[in-house]
Amino acid sequence: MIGSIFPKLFLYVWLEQDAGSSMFAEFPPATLNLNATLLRKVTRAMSDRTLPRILQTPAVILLLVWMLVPLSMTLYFSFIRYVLNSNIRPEWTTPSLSNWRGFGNYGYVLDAKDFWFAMQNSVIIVTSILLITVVLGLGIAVLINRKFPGRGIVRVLLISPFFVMPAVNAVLWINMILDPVLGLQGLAVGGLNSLIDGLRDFPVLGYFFNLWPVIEPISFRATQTSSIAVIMMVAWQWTPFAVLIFMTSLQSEDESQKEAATLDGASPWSQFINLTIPHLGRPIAIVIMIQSIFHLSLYAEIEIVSRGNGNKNLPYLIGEFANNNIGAASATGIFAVILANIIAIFLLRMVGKTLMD
Amino acid sequence: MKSLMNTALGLTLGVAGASVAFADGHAPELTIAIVNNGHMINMQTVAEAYTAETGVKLNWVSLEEGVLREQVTSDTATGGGQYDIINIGMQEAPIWGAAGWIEPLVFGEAYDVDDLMPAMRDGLSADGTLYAAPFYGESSMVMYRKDLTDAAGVTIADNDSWENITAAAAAMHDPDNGVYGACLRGKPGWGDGMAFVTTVANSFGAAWFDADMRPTLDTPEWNAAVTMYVNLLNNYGPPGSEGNSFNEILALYNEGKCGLWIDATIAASFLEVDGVAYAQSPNAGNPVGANWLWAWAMAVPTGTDNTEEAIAFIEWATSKAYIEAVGNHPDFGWGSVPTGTRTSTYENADFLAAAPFAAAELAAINSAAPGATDLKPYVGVQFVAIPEFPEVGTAVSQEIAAALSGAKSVEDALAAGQAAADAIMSEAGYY
Repeated sequence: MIGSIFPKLFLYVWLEQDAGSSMFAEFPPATLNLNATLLRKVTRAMSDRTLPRILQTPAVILLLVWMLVPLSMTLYFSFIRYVLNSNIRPEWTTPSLSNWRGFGNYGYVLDAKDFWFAMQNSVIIVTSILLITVVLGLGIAVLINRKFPGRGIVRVLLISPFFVMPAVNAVLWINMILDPVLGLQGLAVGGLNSLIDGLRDFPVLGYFFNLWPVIEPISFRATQTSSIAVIMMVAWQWTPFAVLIFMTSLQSEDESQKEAATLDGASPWSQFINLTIPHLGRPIAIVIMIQSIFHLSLYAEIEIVSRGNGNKNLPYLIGEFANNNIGAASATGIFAVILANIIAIFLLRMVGKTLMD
Repeated sequence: MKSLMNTALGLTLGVAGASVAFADGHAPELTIAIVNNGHMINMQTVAEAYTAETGVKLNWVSLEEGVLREQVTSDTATGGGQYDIINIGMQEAPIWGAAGWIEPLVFGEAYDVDDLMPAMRDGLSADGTLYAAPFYGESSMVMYRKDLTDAAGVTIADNDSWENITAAAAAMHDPDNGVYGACLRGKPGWGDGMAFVTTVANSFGAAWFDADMRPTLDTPEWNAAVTMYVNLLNNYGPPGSEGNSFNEILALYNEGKCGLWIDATIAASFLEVDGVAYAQSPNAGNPVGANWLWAWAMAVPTGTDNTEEAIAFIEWATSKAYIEAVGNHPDFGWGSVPTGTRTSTYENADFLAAAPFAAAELAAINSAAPGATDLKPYVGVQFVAIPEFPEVGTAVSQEIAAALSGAKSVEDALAAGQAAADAIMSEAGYY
């Protein structure tokens, strides 16, 4: 569902581009060494933009098929009764038009226990991760942009979280770091508590430490905290991506501008705000777009951290319905497509704008 | 020229290889989807002997429980024919058998079908026909640290009351020294936390559905059961119980962090701490359904082309001979034979010597009651044998985890669970 943004972006470019001028600009007719009639034909075709379109058509058709076949099957299933197995209604187990249901599946999904929660939570997860990764990514990229000994090693270390598989990332975080008993958190809390306990016996200091409460470890699999855990681990994994993009972009920043600004007495902060941030406008837009596409379809982390307790998004809800009720799962899929498209429209506008500037 | 020679050589070898494969073409290949836990992984090694003997090549697809269910369900439901043999559980076997998705299993005299434990055989049959052969089976029981109960001066008896269990957990609970009184499952999921909570609810006389298949989660019995469970874990359990299931608690237990643990009997063969004692599951007046019954079984989907060979392999893999082969295998031994399937295993002196938990496990399996009763008008102990149950069980389980996390009261959680279950059941066309 969410992946449909990629073909859409391609189609958008295909429809909007001035193909005749951009694609063949590097090949002036003379270098093609063709006879005059053909040359005239080609030039005419280019001015109509027909030839480039014809050449691109196989790819576009492939993309359309790739997009439309699953989408139309999802649409079809979302309007019929379709379950994998049923003891009492065996006729529902084969998809057929006689099981037509109209908008019944949509109504059922809208009334389902967690639909609105999942919708809202999808957006909350994506925006929080975006905010954290962009801010952290900017800060780290600016920090490691200067020369210092061991810069190469630091960069490699910084980028490595990005190469961890999502499921492994979730398992590592939730079991080894965040676990309240056996994880790092449990050990740290236990260590702190025994340290404070030891300090209580001191004559004067002990009085203050007696006022300290015993620290309780936090369970990150609980209803109240599970989305925080997911945001934390995904932000950890994706900050390197932002750093990588911002870092490459920073290297093309105009140093002479900065020197001039320094001579004019501009503070480093105002240089950052007025020079660096505008320079990074385009990479920021790209980081936001690519991450939104990926994080709208988060699944592994949610499954591993809390199995949907207190934290769900639309793909997770689809997975739950797909246990048996394919009709409801398909209707949820259509809602996910709508949500992804709303977000995609904003993103394409934003990226389009920064690319035009 | 040299590359041309290489190409020619490659072609010759390729043709030679193809003709060998052609000559060998009569030996069939079986693709087997298995769940990735210990006994199944061991089977891949033990079955090398089967290939050597019969020439049947075995391709293993080993998947995590949830993924396996998803893959196997969609493949079998659509008649995909991707697998020749599948691992399914007791929840699926009778439903899929009745739906005609899997082949009925008929074995030879030597297989000794009557040696299968009656509870297992019933649970894997539909209308008296066996549809899946049990590979290993389990019930649930109390596993507690005898050294800790002795030190605290408490005892845990077979089929104890929940008050006594709570009192024993309270006596052993010593979080300052890293020991928690009771470790119990709480992770959402119909086969995880819900399996345990359902046995607790059964023991209070509660049931999932009434005779019309309307959910009954709003009854006082459910409330009493879940309230007791939430209080027990919140007062005497480890922090983060809403995320614990079998593997998490096994890790805690083996680190010496748990006083008592009520879970699958199979856990006993993985415990590495000393002084563990066993007791039959506690109840609150209703012993029927206080301990669960589960089996991982092997079945043949109707979509396969190799039905005969597949049934022959299952006949071997669930036979007495297979259990002996594991027991005598240099890599494994009698401590790691698949248990809970055959009465004869529990009469084997080698096994009894290697497994101190054998008697408790046998008693638990034999006392499990999967059949329908007046109180519980459906088949299944910790699940309900209907296709909609995974969805219902998971939805309710998330609510109970919310109650355990303190985000909801038990009343609100059960009310939300009841509403969700009601919506799913009426959507499925039950009423």
